Amino acid sequence: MENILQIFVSGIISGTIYALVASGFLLVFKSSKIFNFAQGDLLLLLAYISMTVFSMGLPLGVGLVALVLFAIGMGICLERFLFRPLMGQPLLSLVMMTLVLSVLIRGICYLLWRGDMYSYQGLSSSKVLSFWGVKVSIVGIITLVATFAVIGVCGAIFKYTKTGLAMRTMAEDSLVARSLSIRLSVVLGVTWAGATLLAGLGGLLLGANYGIGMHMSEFGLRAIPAALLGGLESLGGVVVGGLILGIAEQMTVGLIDPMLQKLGIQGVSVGSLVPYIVIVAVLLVKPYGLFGLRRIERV
Amino acid sequence: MASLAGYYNVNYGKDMAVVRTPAQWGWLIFLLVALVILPMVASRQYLFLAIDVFGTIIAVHGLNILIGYAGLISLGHVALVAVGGYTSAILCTKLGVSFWIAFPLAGVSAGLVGLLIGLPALRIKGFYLAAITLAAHFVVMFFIITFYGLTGGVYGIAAPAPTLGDLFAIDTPERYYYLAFLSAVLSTFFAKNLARTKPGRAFVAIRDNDIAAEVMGIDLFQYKALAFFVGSVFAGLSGSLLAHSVGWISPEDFPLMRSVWMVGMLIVGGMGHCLGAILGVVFIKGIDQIATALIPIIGRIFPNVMISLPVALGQIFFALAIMFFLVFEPRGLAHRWESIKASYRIWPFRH
Repeated sequence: MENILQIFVSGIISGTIYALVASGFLLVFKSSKIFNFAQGDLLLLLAYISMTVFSMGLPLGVGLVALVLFAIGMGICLERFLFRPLMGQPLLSLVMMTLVLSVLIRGICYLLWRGDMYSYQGLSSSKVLSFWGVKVSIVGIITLVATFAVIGVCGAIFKYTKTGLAMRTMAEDSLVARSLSIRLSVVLGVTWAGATLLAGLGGLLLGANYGIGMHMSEFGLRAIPAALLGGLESLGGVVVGGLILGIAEQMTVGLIDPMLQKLGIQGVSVGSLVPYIVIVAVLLVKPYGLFGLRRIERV
Repeated sequence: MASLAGYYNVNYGKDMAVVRTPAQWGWLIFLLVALVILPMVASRQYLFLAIDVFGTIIAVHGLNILIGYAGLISLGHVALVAVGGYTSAILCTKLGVSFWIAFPLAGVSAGLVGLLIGLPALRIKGFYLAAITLAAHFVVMFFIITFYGLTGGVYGIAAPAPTLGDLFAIDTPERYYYLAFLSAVLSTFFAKNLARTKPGRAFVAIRDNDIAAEVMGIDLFQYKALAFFVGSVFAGLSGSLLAHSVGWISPEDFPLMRSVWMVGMLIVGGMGHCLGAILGVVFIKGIDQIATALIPIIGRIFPNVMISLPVALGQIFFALAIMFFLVFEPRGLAHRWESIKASYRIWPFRH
């Protein structure tokens, strides 16, 4: 029983990171209909950069401000130089641009950091708390709180600010939005800056939990079902999707994989496959996700 | 496209011909002869490269049918290449089947798996199709690793060199070169002609507007399934050819990013052009060669990353090339070639 609770808790923590990454997908997808397959690689790049910045010995605050500015600048540049020229191009060009961006970032990470594993200094000795026999690390709790805070802030921006309203209009119909004199470039720039910021935070949290390395870029792909489950529509849906995904994955790793080991099937982890099975299942059964709007589109 | 001077099609046969003028015949024959005598002059290293190029051209033809003609985005093409490669390797190694039987069976098995992956294409399209094919890649690779009794798991399995009769083994790169060359030529012939048949035109109609295509009496389900099947058969044949050229096949050969590279080749070459598939493969492989050649120079700038440099440079060069094409020439080299030809024809006028 304690074992199951433990698995459940670690599922929630990895689920919140999935939700954080998936909200980066959502932000971009909602306003520009681009699904950013490179979100995981942005995570990776920003995690490596943050590791380098922190190891330079700057005060923590200065380092964080520098990182935030860098992430915002990167987001705006990505939008301006890679995605805006593709406006009006077929979908494949957009998909391919994100995939190629992910290849480029990986290449840069191999070039500058050799693709090695790192961890944030001083975090390895972080404390572990115990509630009724369930162990939770402080990093895990910080992850949980930070993610929910950020997603809450994002939701509030969407709902209450003028920029958020512009973004929602853009999501609804970009032609109408432009004819209502909403500046496309501003909204898209804000969106991409937001997405890279989310990626940066995701990189920090993921790196703090599981270490920094090339595995993070696949994490982006593994977070896709969280966004799909939520229906690519609302931040709440993404949180639910992320949690379902995280818990399902940790349950499989904790319960089914040991059973396979006992049956004599070695070296196989169904857990690593869970996100992809979820993608297939969601798209076959409910392509619009749990909370998505059912758009009338005949195929 | 009007031909201004001199050459007119006077009968239907001429109007439908792929190779239209005596000059084109001359160039085509020159190219084929040059490729036939290439192994006698080129070094082994370049022969292996050429075999790789030929094998990849076959797979990219398949991808071109899927993406370029039928407009179905697939990011799981490499998984089908893997299915083909494993099928023929298992048949040859475990069951002792001859390569000449295993080779077509590899195509068929990949085609069937591709059909299975493509079935959701009836319900979803666009980005969702990209996501599901991407997931399918991981599912297929998972099964390949799981059934290690059959596939050798992460370790891989041998793919013996094919033989003609009992005496003549196609085991040197020179001999294998001709096998790959012949396969590539045949697949190009087939791909080029498929585009001109009823299914090929149906694919284009579906790509351009699927509702209009359905109204015109094209069975969407049937033709989308057909596109997936044919595209995957190409992938399977390519996988078998490449596996037997190396002699060994393992899951490491099939990372997801290889699918991205294949789509990239298609974008560079030009989608929906048979010529585009060939130009794209040659261009990207050429870029890869340049990246390899630059390793010693860039190694001096970044001395501490020498080990990961080949991976890094290949990826960066590839990514920058595709980005350049996406932004500045999204219709690819084949289109550029057409416009060069057109402007040559009407020179010195602009239009």
